[in-house]
Amino acid sequence: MKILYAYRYGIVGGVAMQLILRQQALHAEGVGCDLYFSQDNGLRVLLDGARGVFFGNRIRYGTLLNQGGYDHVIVIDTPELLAASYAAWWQRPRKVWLDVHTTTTMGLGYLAHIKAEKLTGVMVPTHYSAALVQNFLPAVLPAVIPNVINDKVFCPASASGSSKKSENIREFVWVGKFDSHKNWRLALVYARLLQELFGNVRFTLVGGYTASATTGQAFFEMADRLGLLAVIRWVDRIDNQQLVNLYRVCGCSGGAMLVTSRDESFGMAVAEALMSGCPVIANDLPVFREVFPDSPMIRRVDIWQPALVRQAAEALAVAPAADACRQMYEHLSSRFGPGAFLAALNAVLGA
Amino acid sequence: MSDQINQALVDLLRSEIESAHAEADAVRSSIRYRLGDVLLQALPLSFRSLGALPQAVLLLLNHRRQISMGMPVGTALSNSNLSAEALRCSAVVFDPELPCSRVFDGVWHTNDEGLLLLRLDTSAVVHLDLYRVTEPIARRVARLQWQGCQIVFCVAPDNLWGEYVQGLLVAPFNGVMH
Repeated sequence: MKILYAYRYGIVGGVAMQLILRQQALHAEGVGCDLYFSQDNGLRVLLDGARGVFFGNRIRYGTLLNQGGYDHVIVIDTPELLAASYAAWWQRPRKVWLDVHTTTTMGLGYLAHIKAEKLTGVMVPTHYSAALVQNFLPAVLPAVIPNVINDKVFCPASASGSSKKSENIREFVWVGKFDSHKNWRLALVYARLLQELFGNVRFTLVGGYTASATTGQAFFEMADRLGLLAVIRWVDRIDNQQLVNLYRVCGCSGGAMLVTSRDESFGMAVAEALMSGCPVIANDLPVFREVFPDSPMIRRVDIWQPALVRQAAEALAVAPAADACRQMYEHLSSRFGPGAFLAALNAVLGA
Repeated sequence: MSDQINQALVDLLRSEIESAHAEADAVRSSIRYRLGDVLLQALPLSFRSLGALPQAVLLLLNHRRQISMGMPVGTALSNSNLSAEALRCSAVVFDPELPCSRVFDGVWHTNDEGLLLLRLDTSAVVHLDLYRVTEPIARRVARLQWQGCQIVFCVAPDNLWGEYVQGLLVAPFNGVMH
């Protein structure tokens, strides 16, 4: 079996990273899997010539399809690629699937204009997404193919290992693109709240590598107005090992990840933080109720209610209990590890 | 909760309202909206409808002309703008007052911020001397520290980015856990 995943944006972000994890899981099982990105928005340089990843400025989509010998083509939220994905009558047949990862009303709008009857099926990462898709395609029963989480990298620190952390400083982290969707401005307001609450804090914002100069300027100016220049740290991009280290330090210091997003399609960064032993204070989004179990590791709040955010922060232990960390890791690993993804995908593609 | 946080939330909500208005304005002035508006005016079909098509074509032609006039002609920096010598140097000095960029004693000295950013994003830098900090440089400093780069800020901070970078250098954090 050979699979092609196709997506519009070759950007360092959730969908592209998820596709790379899926490809790794499939390759580990001996299944051929290529990735195609219509645009290179900075991803190619980070992949450093990785095998089986193609970009639209290097190869035409139709050429790749003709040469690839794919049994299944899975198009993610890129309707303009659907027509070309179907094999002509004289070509080797292939099945075409739509994988819907977007959850915003505007992002889902394209579903009203596609010819769903030509698709072999529709996939989504959560039941929450499935319900959203059915609002547009009531005759379609989407198959839930869960996202893959890298449970080898994102795991709690070993019990025998020592932690090296700053004394008496609570470390907090926020991860996301610097756009209104992720709500970075609200994150800065709460950085100020956390500073007033705990005194000695550090607030690390991870992401925003492609943020415009205007956004960058606005970020520093707002931090300055809130008196946070000595408290915040902006890490515009990061590798996985540094990220898991940061999560572990946050957890050990009595800190947490803060999630101010207006909406999420899954919450990959939240899952990775929880699996690394970092508690989370998150906006109470519908998808989080599906993906994450009730646990002292995650506190769901109306993110626009500062009193509730404060309460959740006050309830943070000096460090999360080892049992809670381990249970959270085991739960998420069993639901979203590579094995769970492969089982779900095989069940759908093989059906 | 301090008055400053309350005021910050009010300011944030105000800016959200302004953004929403701006987004609505952008949608209303978009070619899709305006074209749709013209075509809707053709309904119900009548002799008047015949006028809609030339209006729509004119709108499209004007839109394309505006795009071609407004499109900036820029030169994107690529790795080819960086000399091989600059890429080999693991120590970098950024000083806008320098007359030119050059390699001296295994250290790449540059006055070009664009090339500096390209170098910082391309491969590891072990030592960085900064004589000025701007926003694009400031946003990269924490990442460089975490990559093990030793950074020296050679002048007193005279802007908020300099103040931010000074703070990072005073209390470095390498995020190490065992």
